[in-house]
Amino acid sequence: MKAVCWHGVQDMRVDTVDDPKILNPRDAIIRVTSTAICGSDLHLYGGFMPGMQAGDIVGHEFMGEVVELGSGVTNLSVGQRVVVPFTIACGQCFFCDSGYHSLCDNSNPNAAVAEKMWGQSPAGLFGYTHILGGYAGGQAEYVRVPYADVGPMVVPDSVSDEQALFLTDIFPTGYQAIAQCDMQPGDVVAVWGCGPVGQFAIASAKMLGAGRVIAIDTVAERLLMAEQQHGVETLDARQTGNTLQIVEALRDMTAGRGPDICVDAVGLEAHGVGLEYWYDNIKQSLMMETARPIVLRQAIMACRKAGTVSIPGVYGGLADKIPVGALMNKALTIKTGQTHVQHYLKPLMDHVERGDIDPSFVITHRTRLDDAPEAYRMFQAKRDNCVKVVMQP
Amino acid sequence: MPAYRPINRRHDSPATLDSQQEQDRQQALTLAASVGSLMVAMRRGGLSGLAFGALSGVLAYRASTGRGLKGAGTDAVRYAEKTLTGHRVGPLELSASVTIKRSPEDLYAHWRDFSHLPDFMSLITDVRVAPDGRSHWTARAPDGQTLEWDAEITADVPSESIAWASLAGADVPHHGEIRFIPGPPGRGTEVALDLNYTVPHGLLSAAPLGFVNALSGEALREDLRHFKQWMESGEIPTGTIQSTPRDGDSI
Ligand SMILES: [Zn+2]
Ligand SMILES: [Zn+2]
Repeated sequence: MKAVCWHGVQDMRVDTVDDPKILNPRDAIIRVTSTAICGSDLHLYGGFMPGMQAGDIVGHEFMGEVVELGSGVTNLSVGQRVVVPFTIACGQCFFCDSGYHSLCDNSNPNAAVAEKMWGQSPAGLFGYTHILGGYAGGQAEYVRVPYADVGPMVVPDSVSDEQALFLTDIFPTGYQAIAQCDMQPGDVVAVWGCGPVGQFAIASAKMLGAGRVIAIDTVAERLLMAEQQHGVETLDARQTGNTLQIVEALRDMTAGRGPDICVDAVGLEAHGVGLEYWYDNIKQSLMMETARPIVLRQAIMACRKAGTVSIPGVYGGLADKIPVGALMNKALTIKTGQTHVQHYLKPLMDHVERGDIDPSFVITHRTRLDDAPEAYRMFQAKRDNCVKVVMQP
Repeated sequence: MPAYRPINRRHDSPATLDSQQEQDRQQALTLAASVGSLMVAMRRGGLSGLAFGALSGVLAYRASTGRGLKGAGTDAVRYAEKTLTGHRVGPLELSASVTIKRSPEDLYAHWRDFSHLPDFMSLITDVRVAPDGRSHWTARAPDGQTLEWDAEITADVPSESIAWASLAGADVPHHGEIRFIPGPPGRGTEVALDLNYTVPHGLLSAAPLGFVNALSGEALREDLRHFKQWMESGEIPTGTIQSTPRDGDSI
């Protein structure tokens, strides 16, 4: 089959590889009909996530048709159209039982490596480093899906591929970023990053009844998408200036309080202006820190006293100059984590089916799997206003 | 006594206190090295400072991935002494623990049937249990070497613990104990496994080095993790990727 394989920094190739096989009783094989490139795939593309090996099949946002089932999967049948969570979860451990599927105790075969980096291991993910399992990803014609009896969800006929696809990751990820914050009536939500996850965080904040939403980005087209799709206020970070100036702007926009909920939907590759960005960029390139935590610093500094900083953006290793004094003295709450997709899949599918939201609004580009290398180049450069690329094998 | 109380028994023995102190010393040294190079970096400033800082970052990453520096394990291990040829001899104590979301009764029952062990113990390929309760074990080391021995149960408390020991004639005499302790409400069972090997002395002894070298606290912990995965989810996960062209970089 054909698959998109990582071969080094900024080197994605479409290779011909062996078809996947059923390896465990609870596995399924899915024939992929639609797959997307995620912002977090760009972290792999740019070489910011350790634990990649040449030839790894990438991709964690995919859906398709069931073509083969292991002996332990009795709730699905061949031919069904399913959407697959990017978090691989057994459904039976303490964390899965508690709704924390991205923290599954059992799904990471390389848990011992993750424990050395992070103390404990989260769940395995599709196509996202050997630290998180070394699972082959879904930017391919076929993919093996473990624990298929609890992960994949059958898509109703009335919901198209493009409407269902983002239930794999970015819609629930944006939704969890707000849902985990105990939002109160009238709360002001500031969302850094108007990429796909940020767009769904904004949409979810509106859906869950935020008083106001402020969208922050450095790319004018993405701010425009936030404004046009969700009718929210925007703040152009590049024009506003450095961290201090952004914090001041947000204070001015909230009569001195600061946003009640601050969402970092950017993660480890943040862009900023001035000395601070330069400092993080140098340190990152010298492996002295693995993140440029510019947005996280801004979110902590801007956040209202006793407010919540929510971090759906991906981080992998170390970051420095985190304003821990602000964090402590303002009594902030931090909510973060990979997304418990299985936990949100059903209610969000219901929203899509009812027509409350059409997640396909983020799609800016459609292409063939064969064109993946060019799609990665375009997405990384944010060329042609690229926000989300959907590929068909 | 150790300052904290792990659930494994081995930590109580004086021998393990030594190994705990050794572990603490190693961790302190590693930390000191990485903090030290960071401080040099901060003092120096400029380019050479950046280089020192980068070094400490690389050290921390290497340590965290176990590449280059030995990771700081939490399992108590007392390694056998090494001879001049680098071969381990003497006693080797291993212990590990895990929390499994099943009842002590279920876990005890599954383990009590030793023929289940090859499903999740990496070195054990076969265990046959005779009607008299004695068992015949077959193990395969990573180097392909095969070992066999007989064992008997030496203590058996239903739903609580099982102890066993190899019988005379084993190449690597050993005994082990597994205990099933009820965890906090809703958490299942705390499982503690202790193994004690005697690695034969003497250069000319038939010590099966491939097998002995494969014994480690980390390996034991992986076996217990596989036991947990088996008991909670019915299978052991694998991310094994189908073959792909592997040319290029790895990071
Ligand atoms: Zn994604
Ligand atoms: Zn689980």
